[in-house]
Amino acid sequence: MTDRIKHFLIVFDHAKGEMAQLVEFGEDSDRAVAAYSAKEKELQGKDMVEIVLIGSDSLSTVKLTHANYFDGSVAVSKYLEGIGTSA
Amino acid sequence: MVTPSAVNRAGRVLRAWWAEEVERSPAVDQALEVMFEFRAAHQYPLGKANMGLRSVVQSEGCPMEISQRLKRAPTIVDKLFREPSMKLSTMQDIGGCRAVLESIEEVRAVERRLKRNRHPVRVYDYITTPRASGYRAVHVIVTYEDQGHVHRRIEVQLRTKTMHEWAIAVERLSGRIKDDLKGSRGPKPVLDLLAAISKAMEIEERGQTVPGELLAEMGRLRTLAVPYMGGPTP
Repeated sequence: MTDRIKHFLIVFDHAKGEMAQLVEFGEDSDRAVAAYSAKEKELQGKDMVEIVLIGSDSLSTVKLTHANYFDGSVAVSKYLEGIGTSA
Repeated sequence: MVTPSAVNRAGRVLRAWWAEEVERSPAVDQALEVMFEFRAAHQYPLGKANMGLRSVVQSEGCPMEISQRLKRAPTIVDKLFREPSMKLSTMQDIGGCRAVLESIEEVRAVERRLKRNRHPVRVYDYITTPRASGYRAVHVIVTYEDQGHVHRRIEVQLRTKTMHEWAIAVERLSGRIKDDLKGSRGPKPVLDLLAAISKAMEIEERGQTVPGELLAEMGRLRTLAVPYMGGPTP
């Protein structure tokens, strides 16, 4: 049932305001989940680093649904200028 | 497979650790392992929920902007800490799917079909009643069986592009200043500004004009909030 979902492990560095790592696991869900837990253990205590595992049909969809990890991938309302972007 | 009582026991250990009531110990490490195993058990039902949501969105003729995520470990433990009566085994958003839709009408159509197809455990309508932070969406909690035939709760988030835009900007800012702004935690001037912006975006989304008073209020709040929005020094 999950064989059409591709899995992406993202490491985002909030101190630098940029993605530090993006690993693609294709449709191998079990390997993606194991890598997710391993990465969280490896980087435990690093408060400014966020690790997340996202599954979708493509990376371009992830860029829309989880645009907070990608630059300029969604439109920004004039009211949000300077809020969702680097100061 | 870990039992619900073992999961809840692990949750209690992790809550005490997060609250700094206990030191890091082998018992904490073991509790973390149980939590990882419990989270991993959601991946299969999450995939099924994702496919179910795709089917519903397709039936409604909406664009397919759908993805899934497993909740981050620090966020799980922090939630246990913030909600002392919560049992880890009943946390509803360990697995979550998200659909970004064009309009409130599309959100309502997908919500209706979803509820018809799969009787929800709970529905949270943050469009009718936005959260204090200004967060808007509809969350439908459904269950799917895991590979051991245990029902797991999955949270389905339905948002319009406008709601999503606000949430994404707030997520970015939350990450930068290390606060959960969507959960109303953070500097008050920032929270007030974000709530006012959400209100303005909601008014525009309904095709109405933002009143001058609200625009002026946003200007005033922005001045107050700016010093808090820079985040930690790199």
